[in-house]
Amino acid sequence: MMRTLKMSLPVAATAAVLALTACGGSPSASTEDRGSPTKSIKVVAAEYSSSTSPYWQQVAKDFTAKTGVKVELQVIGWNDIHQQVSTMVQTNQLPDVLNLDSFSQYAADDLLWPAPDIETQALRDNLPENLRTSGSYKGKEFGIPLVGSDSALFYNPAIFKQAGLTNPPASLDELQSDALAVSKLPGKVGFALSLSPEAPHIDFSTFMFNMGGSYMADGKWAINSQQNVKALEFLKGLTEKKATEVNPGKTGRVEGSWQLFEAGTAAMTIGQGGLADRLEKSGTPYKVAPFPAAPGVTPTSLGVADYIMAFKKPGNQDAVKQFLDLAFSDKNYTKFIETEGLLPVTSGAQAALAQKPKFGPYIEALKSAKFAPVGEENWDKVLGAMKNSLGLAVQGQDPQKVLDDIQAVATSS
Amino acid sequence: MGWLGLAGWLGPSVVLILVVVVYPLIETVRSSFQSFSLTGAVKGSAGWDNYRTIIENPAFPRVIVNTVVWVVLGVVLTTLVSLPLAQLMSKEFWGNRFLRIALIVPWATSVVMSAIGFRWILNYYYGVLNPLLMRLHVIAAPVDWLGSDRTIRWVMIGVVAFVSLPFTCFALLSGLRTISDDVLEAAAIDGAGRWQSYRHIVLPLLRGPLTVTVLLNSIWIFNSFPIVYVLNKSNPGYLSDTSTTFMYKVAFLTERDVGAGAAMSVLNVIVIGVGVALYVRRSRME
Amino acid sequence: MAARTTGRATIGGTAVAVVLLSPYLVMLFTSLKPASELSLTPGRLLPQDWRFDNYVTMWQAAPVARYMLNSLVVASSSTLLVLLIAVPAAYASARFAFPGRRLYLFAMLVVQMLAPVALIVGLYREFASFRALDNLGSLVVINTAFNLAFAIWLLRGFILTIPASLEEAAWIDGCSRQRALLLVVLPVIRPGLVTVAVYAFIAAWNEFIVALTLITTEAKKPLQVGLTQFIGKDEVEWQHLFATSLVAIVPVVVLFLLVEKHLVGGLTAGSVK
Repeated sequence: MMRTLKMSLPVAATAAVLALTACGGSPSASTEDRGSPTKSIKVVAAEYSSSTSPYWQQVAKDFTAKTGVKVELQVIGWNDIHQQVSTMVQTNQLPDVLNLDSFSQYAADDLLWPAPDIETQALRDNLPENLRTSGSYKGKEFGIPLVGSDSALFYNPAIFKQAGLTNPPASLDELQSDALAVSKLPGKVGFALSLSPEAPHIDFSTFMFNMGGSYMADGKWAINSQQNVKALEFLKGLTEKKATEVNPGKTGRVEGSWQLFEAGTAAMTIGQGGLADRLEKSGTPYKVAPFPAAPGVTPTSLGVADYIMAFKKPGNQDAVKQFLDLAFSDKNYTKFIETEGLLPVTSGAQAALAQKPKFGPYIEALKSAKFAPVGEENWDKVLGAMKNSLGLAVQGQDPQKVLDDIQAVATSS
Repeated sequence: MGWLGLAGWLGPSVVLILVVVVYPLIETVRSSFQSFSLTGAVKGSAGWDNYRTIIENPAFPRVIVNTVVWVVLGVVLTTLVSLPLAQLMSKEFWGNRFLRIALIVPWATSVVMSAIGFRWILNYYYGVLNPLLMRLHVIAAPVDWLGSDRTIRWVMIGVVAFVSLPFTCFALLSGLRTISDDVLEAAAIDGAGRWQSYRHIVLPLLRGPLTVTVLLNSIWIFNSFPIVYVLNKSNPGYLSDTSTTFMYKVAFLTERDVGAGAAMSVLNVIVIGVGVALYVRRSRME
Repeated sequence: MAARTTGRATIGGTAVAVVLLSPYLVMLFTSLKPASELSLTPGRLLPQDWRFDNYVTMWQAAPVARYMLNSLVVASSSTLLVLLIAVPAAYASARFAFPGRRLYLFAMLVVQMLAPVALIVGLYREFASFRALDNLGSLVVINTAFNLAFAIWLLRGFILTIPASLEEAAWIDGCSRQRALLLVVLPVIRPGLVTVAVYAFIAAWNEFIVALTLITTEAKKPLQVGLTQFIGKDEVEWQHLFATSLVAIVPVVVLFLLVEKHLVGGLTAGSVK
């Protein structure tokens, strides 16, 4: 405070002049006074691919041009972003806007603006209800979905042919026998499975949901349910029978299972739009099929939404609101979605892209996809526990015990 | 000279050590008795709960065993390779200078970079070690060096010995220099064989430098973080972690429990304290 | 006989040298490969298509120039601070008899044994409470403190070898103690100063865990941390990663060669004469 007082008149005057010249069309000045409006906002976003940064830079540019408020932008890789954000939180260097795959821990510490306070009416109307409410913590919305994704089975028809197979597997038994058939070919891998600490929950959930399992039952955590254990045992079996790559427990996605598929080594893997982009670039033959389900289970895919949230700081509410409005504007948002190969969460972008073959089926599937319980207070801990231990189940530990341990984390206070 | 005058000479160093070493030590101990929320806010006093949490962690015994194996074998391997290597370096021969330069490289290179290099070389699918060993018929099929619990710990011990070699060799070499050629010649005249003169004359004279390098290497390898962090990064669980990476993961990565991480840190500092005490007992201060 | 043993020593020495260098040679060859050759199975040692321009494109692959600049700033500032603080401290602990001298030197020895990793939780919380996380200045201060002990012990050893009579002559000529230190002592202990400077620089240049924990902003990351984050990004550009590493390694190795003689003495402070 003392420092600002000492800033003496001439400096303040210069600042005012600069502010005037900087923003020709002055911001629709805040009518309510909630602390003086901020001069700059800090935006922290997770990196999906090399086109993530350009998108946020464009949004920041539009935003600064419109409001005169500067943007300090940080785009951080998935391996580090959780730790780095908790550093920011502990040191009170809170971002104003944050894009991450979890939000409940911040909502629990009462650090976030409720979503309705930072959404313009136009944005609110643009979000389909099922996606919008997925960002709730204790019945109140805090996370605004930014992107969705769902997974599908990717297979390499050329390798399938070599192994004497024609169609993608229609059941889990077929998936296993097809993978075994491919693994008998020299230097080939049947199914590239990713259970390393990078993101093991994606592959696991895909099998789990399609074998009738779920994270929660009747509003309570049920990670060690019978179906879930069976799903993990199935993965353990795949590994032990050598239907997978050498060690799925230490294989990540982007530099692991996907790279094996891209290099033409693996015949099947669980992928998303991002993988399709890589395959287009490398020219690897691939086809996409719905994931097979166990008898009596409706095939589904794991829907994942990443969220955008805003931290409560005095004076930042209006800036954040406008920033989000620009982030979701049809011009910026549609382009972002198209280059990332992720799925749009706004009705507008969904409708605009529904006709494109690259998006249509995925957008349709997103409507019936199952989501992980990201709004639960303990979700972040559960995710950490899954990352650290799911892979152990294919490295000799008992799947039942692995899931019991995760359940214990989930139900701890 | 008065205290004030002395403060001018020593003051800055004392202040810096207080701020960067002593205070964080106190803060670590304090944190180990507090409980924290997931986002890092202090929730209140935890009593001994953090210590209980860390010791009752099912991975704790495994981590302790890993650490002991890692330090003991790391030091033994380093010493066993360094002794003959230092002996070799003490000789005059064509190429001696080249050997010294080659030994400087792993010393000067950051351990992080060396570890990243090994991570790539040992990669199951793309690394060059497997094809090389297969061509030499050492192994029949590729080995998943970093993914298998059986191999990764030996690999990590090998890498830590690799980066500890240079210091140890140079330290032993400077010890060898102090042994005069007369002593060795006298022994040769007495008819002592090469091994015998080494065993009975050189080794006893090397006892001083040897103890020092063993103690220092023990402390350094115990503290070494980047090798395990980089080589073990893709593996789930704590099967191959040592006490420092375990502490770091618990505090910042997996459980994100700062209190339990602090408790583990305190245990680590106690172990280092024992090492330092041993070292100081050997040192001749004045 | 003598010629034969030297011949054997040459062969043995060269073989060991090649083994010691081999990881870095693999890094070198990898740094010269095009991206498409990186996912070949089984791996190959030599590039089929040599890409020397990787050393040009690496500067765009990540903010490498920025990382290097950050490392340079941190390492040189902390080197300067180490010298400024260690010289008077080493001099005083060598020349003045004062109560607590043993304790002081003992404390420095303990500090040299402690690595930042042992105190990382405390350092983190302390700098958090100072609002000094994510700050290059914090890295400078921490690096300085942890390299100070080595510097004081090494310089003290050098100063003890200077006969006091040399300085006393200067005092008689009317020099103050401080001036005598500057004019008489410093020139004599120059090799020690160079060793300390190089060691402090390299230690700070190579420091990893403090930077990993304290720095969050991409633009403030030093090289060591920036590099590990190549791993696990969308696609790992190993060729650029290794090109960058080698560019960072070469100057450090050259510096190290200059001072290797004195390093052992400093690192084994207090126990080897």
